[in-house]
Amino acid sequence: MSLNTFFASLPHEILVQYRDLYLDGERGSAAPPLPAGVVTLSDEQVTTYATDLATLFADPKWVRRRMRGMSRSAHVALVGLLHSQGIGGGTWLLQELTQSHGMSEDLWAEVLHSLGTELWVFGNSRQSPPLFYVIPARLAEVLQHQFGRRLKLQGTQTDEEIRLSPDTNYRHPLGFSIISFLTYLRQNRIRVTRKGEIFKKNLEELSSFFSSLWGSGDEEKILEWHLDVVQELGLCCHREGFLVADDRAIEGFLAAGPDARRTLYLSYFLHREPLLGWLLEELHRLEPDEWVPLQRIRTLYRRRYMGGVFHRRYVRQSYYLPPSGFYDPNPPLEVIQLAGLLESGLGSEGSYVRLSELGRRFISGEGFQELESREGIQFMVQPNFEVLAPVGLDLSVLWKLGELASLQQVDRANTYTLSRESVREGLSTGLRSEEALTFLSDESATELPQNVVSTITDWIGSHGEVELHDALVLSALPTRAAAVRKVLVAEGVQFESLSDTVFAIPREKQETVLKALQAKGMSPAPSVRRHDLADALGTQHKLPGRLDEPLDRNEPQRSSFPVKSLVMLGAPAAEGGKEAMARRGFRTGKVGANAVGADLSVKPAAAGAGALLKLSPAKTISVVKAAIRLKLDLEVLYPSTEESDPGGLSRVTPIEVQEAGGSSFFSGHHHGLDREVEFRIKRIHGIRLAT
Amino acid sequence: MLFRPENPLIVQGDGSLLLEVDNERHEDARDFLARFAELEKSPQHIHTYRITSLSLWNAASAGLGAHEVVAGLIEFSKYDLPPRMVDDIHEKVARFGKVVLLPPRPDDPGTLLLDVLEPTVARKVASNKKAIAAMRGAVREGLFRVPLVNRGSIKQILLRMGYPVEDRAGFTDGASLHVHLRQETRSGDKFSLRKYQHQAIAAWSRKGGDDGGHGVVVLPCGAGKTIVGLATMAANQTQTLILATGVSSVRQWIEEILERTNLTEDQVGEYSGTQKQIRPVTVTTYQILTHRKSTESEFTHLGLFSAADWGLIIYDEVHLLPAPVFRITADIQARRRLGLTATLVREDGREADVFSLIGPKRFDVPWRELERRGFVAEAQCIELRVGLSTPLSLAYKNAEARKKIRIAAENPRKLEVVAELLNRHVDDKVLIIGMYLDQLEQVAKLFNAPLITGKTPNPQRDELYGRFRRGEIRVLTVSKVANFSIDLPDANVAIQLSGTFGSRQEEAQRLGRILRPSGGDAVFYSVVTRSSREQEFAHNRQLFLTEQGYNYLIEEWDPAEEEREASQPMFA
Repeated sequence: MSLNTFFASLPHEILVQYRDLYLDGERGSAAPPLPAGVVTLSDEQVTTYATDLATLFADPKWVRRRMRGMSRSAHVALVGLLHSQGIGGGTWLLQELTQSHGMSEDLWAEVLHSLGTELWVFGNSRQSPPLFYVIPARLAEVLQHQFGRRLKLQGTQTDEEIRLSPDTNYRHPLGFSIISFLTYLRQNRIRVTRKGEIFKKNLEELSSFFSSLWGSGDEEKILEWHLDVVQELGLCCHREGFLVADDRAIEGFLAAGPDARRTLYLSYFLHREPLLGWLLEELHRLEPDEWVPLQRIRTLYRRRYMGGVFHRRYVRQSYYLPPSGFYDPNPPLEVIQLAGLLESGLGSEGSYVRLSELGRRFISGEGFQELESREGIQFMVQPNFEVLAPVGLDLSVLWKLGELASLQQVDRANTYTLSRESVREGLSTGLRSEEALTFLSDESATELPQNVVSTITDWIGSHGEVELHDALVLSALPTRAAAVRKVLVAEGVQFESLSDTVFAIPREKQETVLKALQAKGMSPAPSVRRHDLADALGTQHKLPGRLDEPLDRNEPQRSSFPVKSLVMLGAPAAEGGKEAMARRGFRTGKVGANAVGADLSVKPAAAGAGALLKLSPAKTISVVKAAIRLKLDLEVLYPSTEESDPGGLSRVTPIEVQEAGGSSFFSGHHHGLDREVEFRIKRIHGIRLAT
Repeated sequence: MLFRPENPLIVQGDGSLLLEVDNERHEDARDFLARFAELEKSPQHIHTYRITSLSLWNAASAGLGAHEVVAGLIEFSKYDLPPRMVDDIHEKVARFGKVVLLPPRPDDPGTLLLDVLEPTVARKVASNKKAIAAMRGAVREGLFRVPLVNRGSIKQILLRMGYPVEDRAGFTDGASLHVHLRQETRSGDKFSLRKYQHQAIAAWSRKGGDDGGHGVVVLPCGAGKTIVGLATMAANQTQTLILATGVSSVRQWIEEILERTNLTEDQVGEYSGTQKQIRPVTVTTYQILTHRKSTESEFTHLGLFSAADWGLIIYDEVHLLPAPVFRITADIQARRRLGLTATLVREDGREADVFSLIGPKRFDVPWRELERRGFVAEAQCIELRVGLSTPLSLAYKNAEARKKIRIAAENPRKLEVVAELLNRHVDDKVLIIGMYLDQLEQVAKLFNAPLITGKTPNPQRDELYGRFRRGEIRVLTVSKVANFSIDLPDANVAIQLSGTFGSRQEEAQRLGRILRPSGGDAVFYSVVTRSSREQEFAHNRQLFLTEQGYNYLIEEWDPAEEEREASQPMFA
C-alpha cells in the first residue's frame, strides 16, 4: 500500500483533519476548501487530498522539519511505539514509557495525545488511555526513515573496558558438541520416565561428564539445550524406556553437510522463538567488538514482542492469552548463549552481550564449515589404546570413531579408549572387520602403533566370517519369475537374486512391491510366510527355486551384487537429508501436532526437523521474514494462487511481507509458475524452509 | 574460537594439558610445562600433563608467577584457554606465600611464628579447630605462635585448608662431617657430576637461602639419584641419615658412598635387621623404622631419628615413604631434608604430605631428555605370544580359573622362546624373571643361570649380584622377590616368563632394572601364552608401559608351526 492509497482509504473526517492541518497551511491544495462540518468528500476530492498529502509526507525534508518542531518526549514516544511495530496497548505503552524514560503516565498520555492531534498517532477508542495507540503502517515507514538508527539495536558508546564474563566459558562448535553428546547417548543407557523425563542420576552423570567441555556453572542448562536440540532434530528417540541415538537419523544429519546443518539449527532456533531471527540479525549488524547493554536489548525486545501481541489483538482482532512474564518478557538470549553464539561481558554499568565469533560465523554462514571441521585435523591413536580426537575433526569421522572406541572424556580433545568390548560393539553394529582397522589407519594422524594393530586384529578374531542378514525373500513360480523381476526393476527396488525364482528385497519395500505386483495382476498373499524347514507344513512349501542353482550368466549384475548390501538396502539413503530426517521423525513418534499430516490423536510434541508445519499466522510471518533475511527459499503448501495454479506444495523465494486491511500476505517468486505471486498468510496450510 | 594448528598444546577444561610430541615446538613447550605441571602419561604421540594445586605451588615456590604460566599456556596452546582455568591458576598461585613460617624470636626460642599476610586467611586460620590446637595463640592478628614440635603438623593442616606454608624457619646445622666427592672413584674410574645433577643440587639448596634446604628432586630410574644424594651431603658437610627401600638398596648406598666420597667404612653405618650401626652417615630402611612387635606397641626403631645430631636426612624413593615415617618426619622439621624419587605419584595419594613434610619439588628433568643425551638407556618392550600345545590347550580349556593362569604361565613352549632370546642376546646381561619356582628352577638348570629366590640367603644373593655385575655370570634367574631389592647396574635385557600385572610402581621398578646405560639399548621381553588369561594381564602391562612412553611391540611366536600342530589329529 502506498502513501497515496493510505490517505485515500482514511475515513473522510480524518482526511479532512489532515487537509486542515497540513494542506491549508503548508501548500495550497488544488481542490476548493470544504465548508466546516462537511465530512463527505467526493472521489475527486479524496484523490486530490490524498495525492497532495502523499507528496507532502513523502518529502523527507518536510517530515524532518515537522519532527524538529516536536519535543524530545514526543520523539521518545514515537520511537517507543515504532519499536512495538506501530501498535501498543494504551496502558502498557504508558507504563513502558514511564518505566524506560521516567515521567508520569499522565504526562506520557499528554505527549501521545498531542501527537494524536498532529495525526501521527491514532487510537481506536475514545477511552483515556485508549485501548491501543497506533501509528498506521505507512506513516510508520515515513517515521522509520527519520529515526533510522534510533530504532535499531545500538552498540555501547562507552570507552570503559568490558570484561568477558567468567560464566562465558569456552564455547565449542555446535557439531562437535552435539556429536559427542550423541556418542555418549549411544554408549550409555539413559533411562527416561513415561513422561519422557530423564532420570536424575543419569542427568547428573551427563552433566558431570560434559562439564569440562561446556564449562562449569551452566552445565544443566547446556545439557537441557543439547537434549532439546537432538530430540527436536530427531537425532535421538525414546525406545523401551531409554533415550537412544537414532543411527539412521544421525547418518542423514552428517551426510547433510555443514550448510544444511546450519539451516537445521536456524530452523530450530526460529521454532523455539520466532523473534530470535530478528534478534540475531540485529546483533550481527553491529561491529564484532561492539557490546550491547543487556538492558537495551531487553527494552527493544520487550517492545517488539509486545508489539506482536497487540498486533494480533488489534489487526486480527483475536484475543491472545500471552504466557507468563507478559509485561516483561525476557529476550530469548539463553538459547543462543547456550549454543555458544552469544557471549556476555561485565562493565561498570552492568551486563553486556555480543555475538561470539561462532555466532557471527553462524549468522553469516561464512566460515561456518571451517568451524565444524578443519582441514588437517585428525585423531591420534596412541600405543596405550587411547584415541585423542580434537575439535575440528570431521563430524562423520568423530561419529564413526564413537562406534569403535569408548568415549572417556569430552573436552577440546575428546579421549576415547579402544578396548575389546568397544571394538566388538562396533563390529556388532554393522562395521565390517576389515573396515575397523582401515578406518583407524586412514583417519589417524600418525601411523597406527604396531601393538595396537596386533591387539585389535586379535580382538576382531573371526568376526564377520559368517553373518546374518535381514531381508524379505520373495519367491515365484518359474513361470512368473521373469514378470516379478521386471516389476522389481521397474519399481527401482534393489534386490538380489538368490536363484532364478527367489529374490531378496529390503523389508521396507514390502508395501511397494505388493502394490506393484497387484497392479500387474499378480496377487501375492499380503502376509509374510514364515519359512520353517523343520515344520512339516513348511517343507511342503519349499521355496520353488533351489538356492544353490547357478545364476543366469546373461545377467552379470546379479553375481556382482555384494552380499553385505542386503542390510544396507533398508536404510534410507544418507543423502535423503532433511526430508528423510523428517520421515524418520514421524517414525520415531516425534510428530508435532502442528506438522502437516500429523496424527492428531498423538500427544502434541515438537515436530521433526524439516517437517511441513501449519503455523499460526504470526509464526508463519516470522518464518517468511527470517527466510527473506537469510535469503532462503520456502516450501509452501497453498490451495491456489490463481486459476492457472493447481495449488499444492510450491517452492517460493519470498520477497516481502505486507499487510493491508487487516490481513497479511507475502509476495514471492513462485518457482513453479516462474513469476511473482502473493500468498495470503491465513491461507497457507503448511510451510518449511526449502532444502 | 582461536585455532592455531602449528602450536603443540591442547589445554583441556579439566586442567590436563595434551602435548604433541611430534610438533616442532614440543621441546620448548615441554620445558615450560615441566615447571608447573606434573607429567601424567607419556605415550608415543601425545603426552599428558596435569595442573594441580600442588604442581602450581611447587612452581610458585620456584618463583614462577601466574601471569608467566598463563602467558606460556596461551603461547603454546592451539585453542583458547578455558577462562575458568585462567582464574584458577591466578587464584591458586596467589595463595603461595600468603602464609609464611618464620624462625623464633630470640626472646621466645621455643616458638615459631606463622605470619598470615591476608586478613581473611588469618581469620580462617584463627577459627580452624585443628590449627588452633597446633598453635599457641597469636602475637597479633595474622601472626600466630607455633611450638617447634608442631612445625610439620601446622603445615599439613594449612595445606589441607588450601594454603601452602612457605617454610622459612631455617634448619639446625647438625654435627659437622667432612665429606667431599672423589674425582676418581675407589675403583679408579673418572667421576664428576653431570650438569643436571649440579642443577638439581642448586635448585634444592636455593643458594643457601632460608627457603632452601628441603624439597624433592625428581629424576628417572638410572639418572643418578644416589649421586645427587652424595653431592648434597658434600654440599652440607653434615652428619646424614639415609632412608632406603630395602637392605640391598642400603648396601648399594653404602657401596656408592665408599666408592665416590672420601668417607671410610668406619664412618658409614648400616642400620638394618642384621646390623644396628649408628655412624656419622647411617643408612637404614623404611621397614626397620616401621617395625614394631605388635600393632598396639610403639615403633621400635624410630629413636634412630634422634640418635645423632643429623644435619641432613635423605629419603630415597620418597613416593614409597610409609605413614609412620611421615609422622616422625613431621616432628623433625628442623633438619634439612632431601627427597629422591622417579615419580611424585603415590599409590596412596599422599602427595600433599610429601609437599608439606619433605618439601616442594625442586627439580625435575624429563627422562626422554636424558635418554636423548644417552644418560638413560632407551628401552624397548616386546611381548612374545606363544601358543599352548594341543593337549595343554585342551587342559587349559577344561581347567578352573586359577589353574588356567598356572597352565598358561608354565607353558613349556616358553622355554624354546627363552633359548632363542638368549641366542639373540649373547653379548648382553640377561635377567630371567618369573613367578613359579618349578619353572624358574627348570630355566636355571636348562640355561645354567643361577637362581635367586626369597629363600636365597643375603650373603649368597650379594655374591651372585657381585658376580653378575662383574660379568662372571651373564644370565641370572630371579623370582618375584627380586623385583624391588636388587640393583643390577649392567643388566640390559629382561625376560619375564610369568607374573600377573602388579602395581604401577612394581612394573616401573622391574623395568627400571634394565634402564642403566650400558652402551646398548635395553629390551624387556614378556613371554605370554596366546589367548589366555596371561594375555589379558599382559594387556594391562602394555597399557601401563606405553603410557610411560616405552616402545611396545607384539610378536607372534612362530604361529605357522603351531597351526601345523593344531591341524594334527589329537588321537592319531
